[in-house]
Amino acid sequence: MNYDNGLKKILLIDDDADQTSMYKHPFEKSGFDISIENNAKNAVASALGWMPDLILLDIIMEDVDGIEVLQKLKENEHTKNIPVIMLTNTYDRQTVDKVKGLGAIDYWEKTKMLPYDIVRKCSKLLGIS
Amino acid sequence: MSILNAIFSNTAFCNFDGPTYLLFSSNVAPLVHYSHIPITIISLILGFFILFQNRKGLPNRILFCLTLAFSAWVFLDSVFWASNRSDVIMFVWSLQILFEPIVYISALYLVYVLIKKEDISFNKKLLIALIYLPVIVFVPTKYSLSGFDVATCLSNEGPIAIYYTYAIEILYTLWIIGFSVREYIKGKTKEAKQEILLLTAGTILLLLAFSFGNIISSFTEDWKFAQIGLFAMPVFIGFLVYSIVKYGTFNIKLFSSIALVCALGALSFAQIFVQSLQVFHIVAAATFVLVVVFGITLIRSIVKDVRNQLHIAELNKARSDFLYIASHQLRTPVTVIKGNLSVLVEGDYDDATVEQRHEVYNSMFHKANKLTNVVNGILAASHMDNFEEFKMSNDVTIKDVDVRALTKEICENLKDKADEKKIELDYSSVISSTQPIIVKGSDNYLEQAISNLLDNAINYTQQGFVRVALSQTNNRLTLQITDSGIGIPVEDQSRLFGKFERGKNARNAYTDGSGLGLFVVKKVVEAHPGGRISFKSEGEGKGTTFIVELKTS
Repeated sequence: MNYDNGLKKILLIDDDADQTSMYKHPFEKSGFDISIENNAKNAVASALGWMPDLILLDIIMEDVDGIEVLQKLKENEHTKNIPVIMLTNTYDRQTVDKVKGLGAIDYWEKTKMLPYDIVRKCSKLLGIS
Repeated sequence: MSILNAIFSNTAFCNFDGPTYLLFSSNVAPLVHYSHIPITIISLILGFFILFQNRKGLPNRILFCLTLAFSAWVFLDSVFWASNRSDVIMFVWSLQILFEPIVYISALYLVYVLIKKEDISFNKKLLIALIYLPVIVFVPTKYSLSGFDVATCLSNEGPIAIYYTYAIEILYTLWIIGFSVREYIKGKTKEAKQEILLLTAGTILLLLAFSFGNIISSFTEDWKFAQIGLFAMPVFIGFLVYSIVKYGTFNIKLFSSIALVCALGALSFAQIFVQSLQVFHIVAAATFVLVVVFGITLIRSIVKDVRNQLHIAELNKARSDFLYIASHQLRTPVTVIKGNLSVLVEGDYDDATVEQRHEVYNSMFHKANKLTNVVNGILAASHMDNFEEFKMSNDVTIKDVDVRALTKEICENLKDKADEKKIELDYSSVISSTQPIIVKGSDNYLEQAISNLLDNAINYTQQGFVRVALSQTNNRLTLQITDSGIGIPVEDQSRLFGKFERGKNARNAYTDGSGLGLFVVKKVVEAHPGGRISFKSEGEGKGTTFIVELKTS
């Protein structure tokens, strides 16, 4: 466990490197410790190894479905209490209901939020003023 | 010979002439011939038809078994009616006792397999067989048929014939009902429940039609009326066949209309024989014809309706799947372009190095490229959903296209791109002759398809060559585009032409692909006369060959 810098830790799971690199800078600048996982297959291992305060998880990824990742995170004794927010480019009511039923705390649409909007919402959620 | 003598020496003869050709005798009412002979033939044809539709399909095999047992039963029944010999009657009657439960067993097996979508467990099979076993064991004994009554020309039935076969038939039927009720309760969706309900109702009705004769005759002794059930059987079997071939299961509207028409048809047909006055014969016959004609019209219109509904449901599903993925594919580049611009506007990169800034510009540029590809791909794919639509769409004009000239032009256009990547683009076989190769089709779409294939070959090749070969034999042209690129992993080969499908390694090699290119190429090629597209790839890293074949004119 690595709490030495005292920063809140965010794990971003998304297979598209263009998108993850876009979010990285604003989070770092706003005082977060952000870790990026571009390979959804390693998502659970990354979460276990780093124990983030919050996970941002994409849904449509090439190798593994984000919903499957969410399920695995919630099934795992050690990761099940880490809050997960789905951060995705799709929207349909059924998917929203499904992921909330599986324990995701929210569903954010990337197109409707700029990187700094996401940072602000994360700050609020984690109690950083 | 002594055994045969022993059998025949005990033969008794009933009080009418023996049959000609085994089936025709004075004891047989015309109705029996009408009901038995065509029904045997129709059932057999249906049985073989379903078997040859898919010889390895379990439901097909079971239904074949059902029709075989049923046809054998009906055939034996007509021999039984025609014969005046006690030995023949006893023999065929015994066989009927043997075959009858097989119809029920097949029905049970079929319902199970169609609902569960898997085979019955070995233990259940064993149980089904054990229940049936006493029939096999006791049929040759006096417990099945105990004797023969010459006065009625019927066998005396023992406990196996009177009680046991009926008991197990009821048991198999209850098994079907019990199983279906349990599955119905477990059913998750409304559709699944409906499917179970229909399938069970259909099968129970089929079994009722089959045992109609037994039920009616045991109450009324009216063997003639009892024949009606047999008419319904091939219709139900035909319906099962149709359902399995067409939809994999049942449809209630179709089923109930067929049942109604059959019931009315059978009743009005029977009227012809029941009436004693000539004039009523004519009225009854006319009624029968009307029922048949309107019945067929009704059923046909319902079949059409059901087909349309299924088609609409398929289209809706395809459309929502497409929208789901398309919206993702369209939004992702927009998110990156907009997001990065907003970060730039915030001034985050004001102090960054030139390289860092370039990285941001680059990622936006790639996404803009991707967006263009996806938009173009979606627009092209939306024309391609079916052949008719493609041919009728306004922007397609069909004319003579010289594929040689077209391919040459495409190669020349993409030569620079290949040179830039230091890939050798070899199209010598295209320009080795100037003899036109003419195909009837759309030059726009053919150009799009061929340049897409060639562009892909260049995009997915890091070093080596891309070779375009064009040849014509008889009335066919073959265009082969071979590259020394990344190849196609075996696991991706089956879904290569699907919408938004991209090979695993393709995504890393060229990130801007839309996943719609090959889908459109395939649709375009197949919309042309004799159009076929295929590919060969030994696997990852071993290059790929795409082969397009078209009919020339």
